[in-house]
Amino acid sequence: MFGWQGKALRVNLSNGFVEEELISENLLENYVGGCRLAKEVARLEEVSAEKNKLIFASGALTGTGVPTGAFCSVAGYVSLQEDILCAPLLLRFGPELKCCGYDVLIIEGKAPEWCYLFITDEEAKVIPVAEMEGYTPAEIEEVIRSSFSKWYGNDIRIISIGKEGEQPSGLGGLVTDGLLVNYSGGLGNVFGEKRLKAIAVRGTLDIKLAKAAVFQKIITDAIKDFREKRNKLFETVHTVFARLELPLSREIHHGEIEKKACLACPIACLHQREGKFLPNFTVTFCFSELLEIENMEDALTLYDLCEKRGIDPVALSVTGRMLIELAKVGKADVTLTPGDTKQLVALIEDESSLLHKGGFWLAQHYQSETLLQDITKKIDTTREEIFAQIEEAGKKKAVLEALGLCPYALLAFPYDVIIKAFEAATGKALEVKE
Amino acid sequence: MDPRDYRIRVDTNKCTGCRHCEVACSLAHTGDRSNYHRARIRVIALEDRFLPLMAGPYVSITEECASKKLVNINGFVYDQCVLCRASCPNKSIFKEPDSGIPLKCDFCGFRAEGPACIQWCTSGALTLIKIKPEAEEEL
Ligand code: SF4
Ligand code: SF4
Ligand code: SF4
Ligand code: SF4
Repeated sequence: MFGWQGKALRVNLSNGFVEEELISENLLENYVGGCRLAKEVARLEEVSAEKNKLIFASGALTGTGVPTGAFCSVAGYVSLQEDILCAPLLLRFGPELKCCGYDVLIIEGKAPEWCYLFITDEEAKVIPVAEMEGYTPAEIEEVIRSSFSKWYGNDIRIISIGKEGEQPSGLGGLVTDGLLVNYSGGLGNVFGEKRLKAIAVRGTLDIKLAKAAVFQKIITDAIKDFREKRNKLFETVHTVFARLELPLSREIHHGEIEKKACLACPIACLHQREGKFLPNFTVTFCFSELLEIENMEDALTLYDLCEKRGIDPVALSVTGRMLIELAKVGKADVTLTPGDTKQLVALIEDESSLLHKGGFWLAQHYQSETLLQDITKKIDTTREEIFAQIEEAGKKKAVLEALGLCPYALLAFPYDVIIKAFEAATGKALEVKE
Repeated sequence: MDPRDYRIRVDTNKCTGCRHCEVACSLAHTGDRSNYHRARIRVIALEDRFLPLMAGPYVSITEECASKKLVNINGFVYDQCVLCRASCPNKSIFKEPDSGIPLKCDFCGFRAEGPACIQWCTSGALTLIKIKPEAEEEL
């Protein structure tokens, strides 16, 4: 098979049983990858509250070398939201999973004690780590990497959860190689239900390409074109962000920062200071517009706490806003003053506080579904602004997601070039259905 | 182009760690496979930056490396290995993952368009420099 690896790995945490399965070509052709494929596998596997599984699906172009082809998606049934949620993972977990030989990873059952899953192209094993309970994601990464040689350890890609994921909560998110995964709120708790503290992958297998010479030429030409247009592109993005007027973002992303990128991404929108990731645009927007945090120190303190506890900052902001609004109308007996980071931190540290229930639970409990919709719509509308100049952006973003690409690729590369790259990589035509 | 006339200049301040150079190198050399684990360039994550390293000539070393030491640059202490361009037997990162054959940067001498890693690196971390007897000229 070209582009895809054509295989899935099934791991049962209850008994440590591991099985390799072939994925039907039909399924890959129809669902391609990403959340689309993950959700279809979840449907076929009858994932539900009683039969919860974690499904990982990378994209058809993940790891092939197509610019931004770094993404992988993870889906699972989140009890507090009564639905299957799916979130994209950035950086390099997806490509490394593919180098282990798998497009899809299915994790079922529940481990008898806290464990982590280690996958290579030769084996997959469930490693008990009772002592890791309560560890922060950074500590888990350190423990896993340091159990190998430095060179090998540094090349292991890891997803882990913090304390928030270990308990029932609507905020428990994932951290991949030091980066908080936005929109993963609740999925960290699915890890927790399964007593799965982390997944570590390290593979060395090839991703074969159908028409490699054509593929290489398409990418080389696209990069050449990108180099020529880069300044204009960054100017456009800058204008969009300036229009959205986010003083907090300007403050955070100013000064001594390092640009970081996911695999094969020339855009490099991620930022680090002193080796630590900074909140990205979406998080900065959520902190400043939903939680009304005005200064950089408070925003960074909160982000740092999210990182340590493994809290999805987007879910935290949505829930925080819900509490602010519910308190205003006297519905919830918790007071949360907009912009008061100390109060918010206290609520996070109080594990029995309403905040940990998550936005969906609050909306249901206080019959405030419209409020929740309004808050999430605010984030979506702002994110969509970034793609305002692109025709049929919604459809194109969905296609990119299935291919394992970042939506921002649309700002830098023509859509038809990406489709041609897909055809050269897989040797198949892409049929886009509504 | 004659590879002997050129050098690759590495600017670690610009490297974003995207590893597109690795994918490009693997694809250029295998012909039909993307696999950064087969690259002749590897991007090493240091405390404060990424360091792209090209695999130099294969050196035969027995058990221990005589040249290994700690190097201090701008107050940061680096292990010699991250600076050493030799693809030594102590460091398996520069070997073919399946056959174990050591890999060596050949400057993409077989490609008319020059090094594949530079072609796909957009950050400016890798640039091609022409060596002239009297001066260096950036292309
Ligand atoms: S644009 Fe940002 S999020 Fe997207 S692939 Fe590049 S670095 Fe990753
Ligand atoms: S392609 Fe350039 S920026 Fe990316 S890792 Fe390689 S040297 Fe660094
Ligand atoms: S890379 Fe190899 S040769 Fe160079 S210092 Fe390290 S051990 Fe020695
Ligand atoms: S010059 Fe060619 S062989 Fe050397 S690292 Fe770059 S792509 Fe690989």
